[in-house]
Amino acid sequence: MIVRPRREDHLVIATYTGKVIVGVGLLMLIPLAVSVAFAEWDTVVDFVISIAACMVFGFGVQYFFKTDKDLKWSHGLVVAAGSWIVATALGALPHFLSGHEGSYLDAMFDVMSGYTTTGLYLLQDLDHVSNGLNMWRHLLTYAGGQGIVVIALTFLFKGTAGAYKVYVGEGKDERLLPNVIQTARAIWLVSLVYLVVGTAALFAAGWWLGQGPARAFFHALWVFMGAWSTGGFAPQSYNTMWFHSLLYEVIAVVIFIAGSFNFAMHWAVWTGNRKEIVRNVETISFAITLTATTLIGTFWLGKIGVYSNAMSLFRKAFYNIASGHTTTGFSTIYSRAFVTQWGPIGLIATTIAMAIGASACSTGGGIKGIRMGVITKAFIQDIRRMVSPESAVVRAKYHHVRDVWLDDAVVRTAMTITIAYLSMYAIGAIVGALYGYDFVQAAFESVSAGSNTGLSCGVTSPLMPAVMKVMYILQQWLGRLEFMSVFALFGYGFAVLRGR
Amino acid sequence: MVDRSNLEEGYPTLTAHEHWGRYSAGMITEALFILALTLIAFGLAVIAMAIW
Repeated sequence: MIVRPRREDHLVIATYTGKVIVGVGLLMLIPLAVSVAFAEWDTVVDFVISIAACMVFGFGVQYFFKTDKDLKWSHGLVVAAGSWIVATALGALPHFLSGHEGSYLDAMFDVMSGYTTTGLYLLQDLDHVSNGLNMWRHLLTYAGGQGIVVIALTFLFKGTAGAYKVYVGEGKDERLLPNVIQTARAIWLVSLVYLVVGTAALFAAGWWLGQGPARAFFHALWVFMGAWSTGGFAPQSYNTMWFHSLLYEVIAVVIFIAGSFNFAMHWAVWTGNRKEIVRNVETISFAITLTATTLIGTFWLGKIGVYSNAMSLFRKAFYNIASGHTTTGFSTIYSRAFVTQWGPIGLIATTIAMAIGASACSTGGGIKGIRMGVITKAFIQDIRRMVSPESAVVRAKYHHVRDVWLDDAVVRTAMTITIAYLSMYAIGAIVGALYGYDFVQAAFESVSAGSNTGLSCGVTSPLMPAVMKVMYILQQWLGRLEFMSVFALFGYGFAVLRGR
Repeated sequence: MVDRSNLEEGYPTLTAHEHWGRYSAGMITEALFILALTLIAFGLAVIAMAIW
């Protein structure tokens, strides 16, 4: 029997969702300040309206649905999934009011893409967007990479018991430190240190390339945010190709690959366990699959002779495949060049890289390195079991911060989530094909949306059918939250309608 | 606001000066690992161009 949620359940969910939305409104103060600094008064008005809407909603639901009850597990999952939708709807206001979006759906698409660190966008005339809106786009992706709930955890939530449940619902389930708020702060510490160092490096590169100080600073900050969050947004429509600089590309590669690492791995390395980086199952898995997909892409592009020398081949193949594998979405080629220059093998190599994706508990998306590692270990374990005597006990373990025995429950969970990702990728590809797109291109775009990558081969555009826009929004959301909290939200809705 | 009574004793030391040496070493380790992967990719490009 499905139990209908009680009034108290609604109150708890509404209250915590309200807190997250207040956090979104407070976040808008930063782009508002940038707009004021650049005297972009139209953008200032857009942000004042948007902040007011967030505050009215956030404080309104906390006032009308006031409760002192703490969250249960199911509440945490529903709040995580639900608050992303509400935050997307309200976060889209500055985009829509800017006049750069074709519709409110397009604005929501871009905001979901930002929160989920995807990087696909439908915004038009990006090269003439105000500094305030550009700040908001990149802040969205930086905040989304941390997890908007992590932000709320850090600044707005009382208590830790309920907070941990929302934290898990957002797809991050590792405690770097015993206390979840300490964990959230350790994540912030790593991210902020990288923010300072990465922005400084990009700023120096931009200045050296001839940008003025203000432009070099903001481009550095925004490119950092796009890279670290594996979001892929950039301030120019040519993305990072706009810089035409090997130095800028190498710095970006270091930042986006570091951004794709598990925060638990970062914390282990940062606190003295430096060998962890070559022992961790996720970094080993990542190094193998990145090298394999780069090998396929590089040899294929070398064979068909698209690039005239080894340096050009390296810069284009490695940058774009690594960007895909880390689910960043930065590119140094035109979208259609994936089709017209890279051809089917190049597209497929990039698609595989995107599908595998980054590390768990990172800013990235995709199936995740830990699941690839666990499934591969389980596969090898099964083969060893088959060739061993019947009486032999064959056990395997993997290393992730500490040694973990590989048991059936771990393998089953990894397989379940992997199958869910593959099913989502397939459904997106089929829908794209049904709308008349080439299947390989539709698969590329579907995997890009579902793995929160953001590379595009040209399918994503404001002229795309509305059904595909909605589908990609759902794929981005499902992929980022790793299904469970979204399923919990649907289950909650079903229980409201059909429960007794 | 955050209820600070829930924070464990270790929290204030996260940003203490004595940690920064280890943090910097960790960051450099990560950058070197990534640059090693980048060099491997460059080697692949050189081999690919040599073959074709």
